[in-house]
Amino acid sequence: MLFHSYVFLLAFLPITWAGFLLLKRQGRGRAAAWWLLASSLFFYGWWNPKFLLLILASISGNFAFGLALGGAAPGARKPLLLAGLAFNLGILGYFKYAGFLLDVFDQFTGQSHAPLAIVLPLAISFYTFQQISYVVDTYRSGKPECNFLSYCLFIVIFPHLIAGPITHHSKIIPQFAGFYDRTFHGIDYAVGLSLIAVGLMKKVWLADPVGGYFIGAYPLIDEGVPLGFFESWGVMTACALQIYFDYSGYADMAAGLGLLFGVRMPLNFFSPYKATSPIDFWRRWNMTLMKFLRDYIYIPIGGSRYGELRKYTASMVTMVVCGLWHGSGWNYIVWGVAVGLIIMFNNLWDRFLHFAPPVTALGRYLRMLSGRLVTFCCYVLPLAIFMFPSLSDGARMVKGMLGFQGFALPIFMADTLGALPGVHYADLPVIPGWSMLGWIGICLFVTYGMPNTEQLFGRYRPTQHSLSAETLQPERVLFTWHPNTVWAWIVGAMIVVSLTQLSHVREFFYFQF
Amino acid sequence: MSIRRYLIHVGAATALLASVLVAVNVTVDSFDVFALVRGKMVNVRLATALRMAKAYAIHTYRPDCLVLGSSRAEVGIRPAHGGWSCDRPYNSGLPAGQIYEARRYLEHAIAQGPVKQVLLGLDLEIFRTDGRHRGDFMEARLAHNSKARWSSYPVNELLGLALGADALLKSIDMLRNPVEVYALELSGERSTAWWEHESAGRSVRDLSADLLQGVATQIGKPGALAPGLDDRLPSLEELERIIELCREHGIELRLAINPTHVLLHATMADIGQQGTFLKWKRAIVQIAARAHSRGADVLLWDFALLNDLTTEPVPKVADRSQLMHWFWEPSHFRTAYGNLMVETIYSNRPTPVEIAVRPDVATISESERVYRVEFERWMHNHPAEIAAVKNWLAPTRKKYGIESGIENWHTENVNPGD
Repeated sequence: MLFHSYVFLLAFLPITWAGFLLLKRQGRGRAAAWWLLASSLFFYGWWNPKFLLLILASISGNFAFGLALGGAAPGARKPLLLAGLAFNLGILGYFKYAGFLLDVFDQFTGQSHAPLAIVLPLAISFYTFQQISYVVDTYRSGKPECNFLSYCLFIVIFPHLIAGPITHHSKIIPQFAGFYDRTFHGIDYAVGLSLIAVGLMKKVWLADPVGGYFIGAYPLIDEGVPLGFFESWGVMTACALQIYFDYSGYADMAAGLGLLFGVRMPLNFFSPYKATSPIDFWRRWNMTLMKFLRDYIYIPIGGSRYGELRKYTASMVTMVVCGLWHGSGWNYIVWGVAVGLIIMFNNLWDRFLHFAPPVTALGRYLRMLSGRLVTFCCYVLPLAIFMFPSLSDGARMVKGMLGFQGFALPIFMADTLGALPGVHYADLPVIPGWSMLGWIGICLFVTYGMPNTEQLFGRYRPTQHSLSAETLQPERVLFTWHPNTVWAWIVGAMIVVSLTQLSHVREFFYFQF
Repeated sequence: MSIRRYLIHVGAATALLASVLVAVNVTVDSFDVFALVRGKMVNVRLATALRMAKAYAIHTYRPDCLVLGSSRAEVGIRPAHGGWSCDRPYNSGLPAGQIYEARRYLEHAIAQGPVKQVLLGLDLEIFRTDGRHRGDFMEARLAHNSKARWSSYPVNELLGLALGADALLKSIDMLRNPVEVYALELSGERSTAWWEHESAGRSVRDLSADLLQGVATQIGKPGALAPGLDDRLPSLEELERIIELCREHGIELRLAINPTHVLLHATMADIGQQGTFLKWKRAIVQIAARAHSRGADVLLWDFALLNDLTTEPVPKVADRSQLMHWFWEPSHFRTAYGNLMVETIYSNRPTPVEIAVRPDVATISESERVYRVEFERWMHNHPAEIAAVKNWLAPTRKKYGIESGIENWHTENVNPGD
């Protein structure tokens, strides 16, 4: 079931929320939790009921490992941890990587096996990572979660189940105590509904239209049509904006839905395209995944504690794992290496090149602008590799972006721009017209010119985060949300305008992971 | 403002704005789905919504006679023709329709009420094996049986039609321009303005090139038609299912191999599929004969003969004002031809020339022999047309890596003893 579908918005959500509030009002917190659990399992099973067995087996197994780790003798704890990790990675490996590994095996041995017909279960990467963190933390603390209902709900609660954010048990399970509180928290509901409206708008009015250009261009690229500089950048910019609005829209909706049930989700995006360096970018992008990778990969393998070389190696390994988390294919591995190298160069830059801060406002602005531009390029260039299962397609796209395949402008611009010295026009089917550039322009304006949702609702703290007030910069935000009549009508209009786009839904980008 | 008031305001704003949207869409009812307001014409955009509109139209009008097939049947056969003996005839032909879709739309119609007569227009293209239906086909729109009539209806689509931006734009468009140039009539037939839209200012000859290329792309694609076409193919089993369905429900079924312009024959020959066409015909004849022997009320007519009508010359000059009389272009026959078909099938009236035969297993070989002689003669007399077809189809042949088969079609592609 998709958040941006009629069945979810007009049936599942109202029924689930009404049932939950009714039970909560009666002080039946445990029944409310069971209701939410049953609803979440129904939500998950809507896609394919068969995989309910898998997710329940995974949850039961990890819960059992947690209990065993809590009561195990010191000598037995490490083997139990390794068994728990093997259990999780085994499930993930079979469903997500077996086909790829078999391909690699065939490539190296010259053998030929029939492709494995394995269907990737929805959300498997998300719920597996959450449970790995639970098992590792239980190993470290020795304090398991003893309430199966709470543990189960922590994994399957539907706002974050399908595409994150990756939640941490210590941040989510304690909030379930609020189910026993009979009072309604109206402000959470108001913020939650408004966040859902904003997320919906991002998904159906920004991500889907702009993403249509990448999807439309994909077959041409797949056929080997070489794209010129402007075409390549047009398509990949559209792609980058689609991914951002798609996933951050989903995260906003997840946060809003969580608030309806009294659960604050972690912040997952904080205007990543406003970052002024690649390192800054990865602190703002898919923050829960990056935090997981930092806590459970980067730091355990040394982090920055053992010198520069070890630090760069750890960064590289972490980003390759990040790539592999997204999918099984050489494109994800190459992407991870490319991003790892970019982060390494960023670290070297910070270490060896120290520029005096600009003294004028214009200087500061230009530095910020150039920082953002470089950061955007450093994200979009590797993305060209990431998006294509075929490395040759990705390489061709990168070549186009670097200008090796010409600089022609699309022919439809000739009428407007006329003959310009040194400029030639060509029939570029990938850039269909001004409408594409218009949508990209709108998305760029929203990205760079408007406050993000955390800033918009910042006063009411819609998500869990540890950002400083300075980072949030509330004094510079153009406008913020308040529960007043104007915002009520804006939110109502956003909901209705979004509903008009739900008859041809496109899945969230991160569903595939 | 209190939070309670804020939430009430959000609810009120949402409900009010959504109500206005629903009121406009449901009242205008651009696709005639809600059927609250019945106009003479139902404005439906071609290619994007026909499958949807026809599924709902069948639900609303509960036709007792049905035309099934591809766009050829849809464009050429008038369901309102006097030859039919029914009250609510409906043309359920679909552009690029497949035999599977024909079966599903028939099941859908049967689920709405009794169907008395079915005329199924047959083409080689609708038996392609590389796809059972087009992208805009939706299973959930079509009932399997009367019990599942409502349960299978796609709520999501109905909500989209009531709330969707596309539907709203269409509603506004329809309010501004009540009779759209390309539209679907209430009986499922394309309006006569269809040609205006389809031709888009091009001459018949230009259009012929495009459409024949389209046909060649469909059936010339490797795997689109199995080379050893026989009656065990899944697509032919669909025809048997349709026959069985009609037998079960006491429906009079008439099968018509559609009128085929000689340039379409030449197209099939050029891409090496004419042999497949003849084998396919034999398979159809055998299926019809078997069904007939089992007591099904099914008769087969073959209109794909070469005669004065199907060899009507395509205007040579690129002059848009010159139209053909029997065909829109070589791929689609006009209703003048369709009327003759209906009269031949249902009224047994004599036609200006022999436009059809009733093939059976005993006469099919002779029919093929006559066909080969006629086609050979036509080719001999029309080398310029042969050259034009070869020229039009050269890109398609190159794309699929096939040699032109038109020069030696009778020796390589057709095995008389097959």
